[in-house]
Amino acid sequence: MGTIRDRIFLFWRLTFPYGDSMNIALVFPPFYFEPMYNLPPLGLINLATVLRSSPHRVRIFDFPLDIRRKALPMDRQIYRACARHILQFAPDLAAFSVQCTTYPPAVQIAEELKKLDPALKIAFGGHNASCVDELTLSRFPFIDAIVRGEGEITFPQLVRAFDGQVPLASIDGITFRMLDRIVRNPDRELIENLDCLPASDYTFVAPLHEYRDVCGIGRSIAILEVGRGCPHRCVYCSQSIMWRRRARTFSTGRIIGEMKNLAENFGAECFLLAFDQFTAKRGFAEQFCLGLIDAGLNHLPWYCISRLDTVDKDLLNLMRKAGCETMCYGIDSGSKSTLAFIRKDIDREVLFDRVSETTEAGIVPTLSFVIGFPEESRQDLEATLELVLKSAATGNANILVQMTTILPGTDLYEKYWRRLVRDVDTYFSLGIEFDQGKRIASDDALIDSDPAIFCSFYNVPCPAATLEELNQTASYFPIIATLYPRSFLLLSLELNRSILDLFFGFLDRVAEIESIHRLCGERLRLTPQACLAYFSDFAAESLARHDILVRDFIPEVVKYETCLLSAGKAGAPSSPFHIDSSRIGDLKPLRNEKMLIERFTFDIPSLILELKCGHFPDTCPQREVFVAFSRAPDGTQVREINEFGFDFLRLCDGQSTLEEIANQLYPKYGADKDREEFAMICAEAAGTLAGLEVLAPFESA
Amino acid sequence: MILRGKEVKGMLQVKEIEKKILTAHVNEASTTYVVPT
Repeated sequence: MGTIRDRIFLFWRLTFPYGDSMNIALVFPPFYFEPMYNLPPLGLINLATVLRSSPHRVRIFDFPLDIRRKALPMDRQIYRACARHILQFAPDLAAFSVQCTTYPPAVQIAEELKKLDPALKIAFGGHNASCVDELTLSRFPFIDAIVRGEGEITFPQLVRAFDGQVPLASIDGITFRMLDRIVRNPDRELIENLDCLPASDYTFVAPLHEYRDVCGIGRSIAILEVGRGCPHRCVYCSQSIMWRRRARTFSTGRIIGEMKNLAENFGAECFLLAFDQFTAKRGFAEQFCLGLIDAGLNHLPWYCISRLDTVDKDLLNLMRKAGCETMCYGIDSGSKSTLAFIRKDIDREVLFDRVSETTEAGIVPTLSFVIGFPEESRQDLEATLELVLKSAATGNANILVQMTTILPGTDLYEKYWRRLVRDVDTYFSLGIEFDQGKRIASDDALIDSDPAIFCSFYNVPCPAATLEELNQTASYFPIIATLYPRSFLLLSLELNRSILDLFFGFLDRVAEIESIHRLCGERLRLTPQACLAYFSDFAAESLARHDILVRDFIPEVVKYETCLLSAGKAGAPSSPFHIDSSRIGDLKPLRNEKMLIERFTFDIPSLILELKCGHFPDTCPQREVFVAFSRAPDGTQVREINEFGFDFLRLCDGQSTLEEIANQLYPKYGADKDREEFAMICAEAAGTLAGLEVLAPFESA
Repeated sequence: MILRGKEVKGMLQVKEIEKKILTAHVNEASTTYVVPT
């Protein structure tokens, strides 16, 4: 009789009789959500990287990419197809990187794999698996082990255990099956110095341009880890639990070196810097930005994630100079009591100002709001929607509104698991609709059977609204907030109707108009196109039913926002051209096809400035103004032009020569000038407008 | 009509109001928060 450890060793030797070299399949389960692009699976790349020097053969199976490539059909047989594909590699171990949404597919593929190859070892890792490790192993006997927390040290040790070199019982950070028992080893200490990890080896995945092309996005995005962890205690967050509320970063020199390598050798055209708290340590953020500028790499655009209370104007300007294009902020709520409930320790008063400063620095803020927390009232929800609109009114915010998702292991789960119901799909449960746009029945059965493991597919009701109302708000309010934020908030103030009430009023109107096109029972799907088509009339009808109009300028704000959208629609911007002022008799200037010029009777430019600052006034002075909306490469450029410019542009129809235009305008504007001088003024105006790409290239007569 | 070299006072006035980056379609930035890694 030996010690307990010897017995465990013997057991494990008999159970895992592998040789020296194994085939290891790293699996990214299938996922497809059209509005979301796919990035290479960084977690799996990191695991492949740390196994690079081992004798094992490692391959990453990136099924979301295969779906986008159309190499993996989305149908009821998808999991079998994934399993068969993996088995062609003859793996000894299949390890899955699993998020909440892909948990059911991972379980089903694992089951299929074990059925087809009972000797194959199967491991799960990732946030979800780390939090429901014992439940998962108890429930699904075909899964052999769970890697909890960060995997770079734990996973190679698990491989060694499956290879017969060390006992499973000796590996911190895993939960495994031993005979009929589930054994949960102690947690592994967090890696103290992240720089000791090798740089992610992107040769394990497809070239970045393939991800770009199959997702139809403009640039190749590389995802790069900047740090791990977050010190905050938000009740919904599984990240901070996984990283034990400790924030660690890689050194700035290492990150910059990796960016350079990925740009030069892997075709990265922009970077997503993965870390929840990029600006938490100001010194780190500053050092990184200055390092990028010093290295001459600040032409490389990058995105990052942070909190609004850890930025200010100086830092934002430095970040912009260093190449930062977009910052994602988890604002969550505009309500003080909700912020307190979720333990978001942030001053509500700074939220809008920081959004505004971000926009002013030239960085586009992506703002994430969450609605429907379990104790949230109608007023809380209203406060959030108001902040959504005000933030969007600054001009260029990306708005995300999500329903509360209950993740395993979080405080929200611990407190509310008894109230879980299955009603609507939140953002975090979409992406596995593989059966003709619906979830496969076996996935639904799996989810129904175990709320604890699959809790992210469940909801918790709240007093603010029904789950269906919250779902519609999360799905469609960002469209309103993106297209008509200023008009919508002004309309709500003018009509004295709550934002939510007005929003559902608009949805009802759209449903009414579109009912003839929809099949019986089919749900309304508000699209940006429908919003653009119907909102102006909805606003006009609503105002017409209102007895006394205080904010009589609202129709012009609606017109302004409509022009913003209409001018920015598809169409190639014109290329610059040069005026040869000696040939004005031959040249026929033509307005850019996508340009609109409109006359307003209120001082719209000043009003827009106020709205961008978060002031929604009751009055607006009258002033005749002319506004040109022209298409820029990524949106719409809006300029105020004077009456001369307005008249000039109206005549630039491609039919009249510059000389004829000058002659037509001469009586109104040329009183104190000779004709030659006035013609030259017109030629100069044409040159200026061409430089602004408001005029299209000339056609010679 | 030779006008080159002659100095004239411009009559056109243009003032920037804002630039709106359209985000109502799929774009890179809008998905950064929820991309699986």
